[in-house]
Amino acid sequence: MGLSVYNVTKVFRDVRAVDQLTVEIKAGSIFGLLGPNGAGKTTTIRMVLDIIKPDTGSITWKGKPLSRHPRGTYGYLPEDRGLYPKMRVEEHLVFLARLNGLGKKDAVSRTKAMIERFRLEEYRHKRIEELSKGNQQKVQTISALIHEPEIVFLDEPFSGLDPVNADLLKQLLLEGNKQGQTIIFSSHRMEQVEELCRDICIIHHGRLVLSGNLREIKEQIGRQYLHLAVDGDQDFWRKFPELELVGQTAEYMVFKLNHRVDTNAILLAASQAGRVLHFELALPTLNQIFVSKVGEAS
Amino acid sequence: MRNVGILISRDFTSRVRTGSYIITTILGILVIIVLAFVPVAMEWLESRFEQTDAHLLLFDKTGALSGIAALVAAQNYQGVENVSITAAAGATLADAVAQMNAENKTGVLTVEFDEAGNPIYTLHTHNAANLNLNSTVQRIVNQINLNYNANRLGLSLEDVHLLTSNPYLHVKALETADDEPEEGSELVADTHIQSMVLAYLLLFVLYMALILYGNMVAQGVAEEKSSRIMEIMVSVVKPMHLMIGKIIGIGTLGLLQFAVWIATGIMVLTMKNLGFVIGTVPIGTLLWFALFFILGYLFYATIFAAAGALVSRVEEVQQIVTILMMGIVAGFIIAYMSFMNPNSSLAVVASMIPLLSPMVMFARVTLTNPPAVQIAVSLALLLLGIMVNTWIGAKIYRVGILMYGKRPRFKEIFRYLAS
Repeated sequence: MGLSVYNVTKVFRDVRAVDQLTVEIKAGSIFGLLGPNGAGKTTTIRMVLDIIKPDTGSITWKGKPLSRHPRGTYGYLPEDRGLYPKMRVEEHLVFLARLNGLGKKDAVSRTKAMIERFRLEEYRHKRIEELSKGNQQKVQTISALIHEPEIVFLDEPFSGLDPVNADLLKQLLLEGNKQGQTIIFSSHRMEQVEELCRDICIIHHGRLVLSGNLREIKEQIGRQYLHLAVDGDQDFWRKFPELELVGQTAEYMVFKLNHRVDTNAILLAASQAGRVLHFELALPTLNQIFVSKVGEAS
Repeated sequence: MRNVGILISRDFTSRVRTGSYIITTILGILVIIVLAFVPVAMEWLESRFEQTDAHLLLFDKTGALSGIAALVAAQNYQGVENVSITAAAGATLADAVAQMNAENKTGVLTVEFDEAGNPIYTLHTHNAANLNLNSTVQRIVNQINLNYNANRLGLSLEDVHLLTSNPYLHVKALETADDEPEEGSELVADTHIQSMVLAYLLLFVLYMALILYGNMVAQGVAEEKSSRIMEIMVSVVKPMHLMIGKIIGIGTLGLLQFAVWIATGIMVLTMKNLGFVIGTVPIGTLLWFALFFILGYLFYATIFAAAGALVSRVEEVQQIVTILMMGIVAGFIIAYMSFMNPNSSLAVVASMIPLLSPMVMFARVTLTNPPAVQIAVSLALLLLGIMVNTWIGAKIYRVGILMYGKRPRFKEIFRYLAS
């Protein structure tokens, strides 16, 4: 039992922001909610959190709506970041932690621990408005996690964080997940989703395009890509008209395969063209899946 | 409910330590202290202006008035240093003017008579533009003239007093329609005026407070929207609780400010006896003030909160708030009008309408004794109004707080209410 979004529709004026969406998210998973801009991700999260009501359908966490769970069951980092600009960092975190159900003593001690962990000690008594954007974001991320909620919703949690802090956050999320925390986040940065998420879904125009275990999705699609690098004649592959060059990284070229391609023949030709540095029949990356699925759907 | 407590305390503490709040509180204290010294200062100023010299030479060729003038001077200006009346020595006006210059007098008062024998008075002075001098001389001339005419009619001094004395009008208020006339309590004019001044002052304070703190609520909501904290807040607490927390937090702030000011006022008045006896500030009036401040504030704050939720930027608050202020201004004007006649039908009706009643009923209660039924109905309707406002406000708030960009039209607002 986890988070169950069943047949949910939400219409704003004449736009179907979310259209008969059904998604199951297992408790204890790290889940990536993906979709292009304006796909309905934020609207979906807001409905899950009971900030706005769906027109139809039902949303439950462990069998009942989130709003009927005790305070502090969930944590939320919205896409529109915002804090009270005049409040001081420590005071603000304690305030939000208490609203999430922590007692005063608990709120203070956990705030201290989190401030240290995120290296915000020197800003502890500064007003929010005096902080840089990145540090404000750290404060807000802490406020979503400080009460150790069962389920966390993070909207683009890594945008605005430098690599060091992005790493800190990643560790924190993985630790929380190890202790059973369910983490749902949306991101445009597919490599981060790929690194963290076991399960994903892609929505587009408010509809579900794809959902499931990321590895299974990839296997299902199959090894459709060839990664190839040769130290020698770079253009030998042009002999194979069925090969389609779709990308190029610093290390290798990326080809899309179709069923007519004889990969052994290509390997042979490559070894004749020069020293083969890289030859890999690869699963699609999430980025490739995203681009092709969203492209198909629109 | 626990969350509402946390929200109230945040809204209260985050504002109570801001510079603007501390400064307005201190400024208020200073204004009260200054105001308390105004009567003393006025007296002092008046005494300064009264010092205008009026040393007159009376030039009366007939001599008919010199006796009377001496009598008036002896009766009314005995021991008054800046007023004197002496007869001119010379035979012409030019002589009199020369004497005035030589003896450093203020002016020459000439008297002539028309055909009917009525005196015509003229003041010759270098200082004709001094209005204080003119009015002092006018007073002297009035007294001389009165005595002169009394003489002509053969009236004695006692007769003159009898004719010019004003009787005192006793006003008794009847509590109910079938009250026996004897039972009415006497309305003493002095204390009535005093309680009117006090009621007027408090009414003005009430008016300022409703505008000041109502604005603060709208501003606070708009700030939460523009800083985008709102989405976090509504994901954690109910919008209704958020609204109530803000209204009570800011209301407490206002009450604290007034408590400080009123305490200052009482302290200043008891410390120095400035002619305003502390016993005349009726505790009842202060209690009514507190009651109507709280209820009026709650009534307006719920509307102001909803208004704040409808705009996306702090700068837009002023536009939408202006409409609400008209209600408060109307209440103030009607309350002010009902000062002259607190039981007029306009005042009675207005004191029942929740939009106006906080101010109008307060004015009526402090000035007369309106029937208990009217007070009860007024309060009940006001409470009902607060509940309806809270319900409507919460609905608008709930939808408005996450809406950015263009302001909704009235049609859309009605749709929120229906949903």
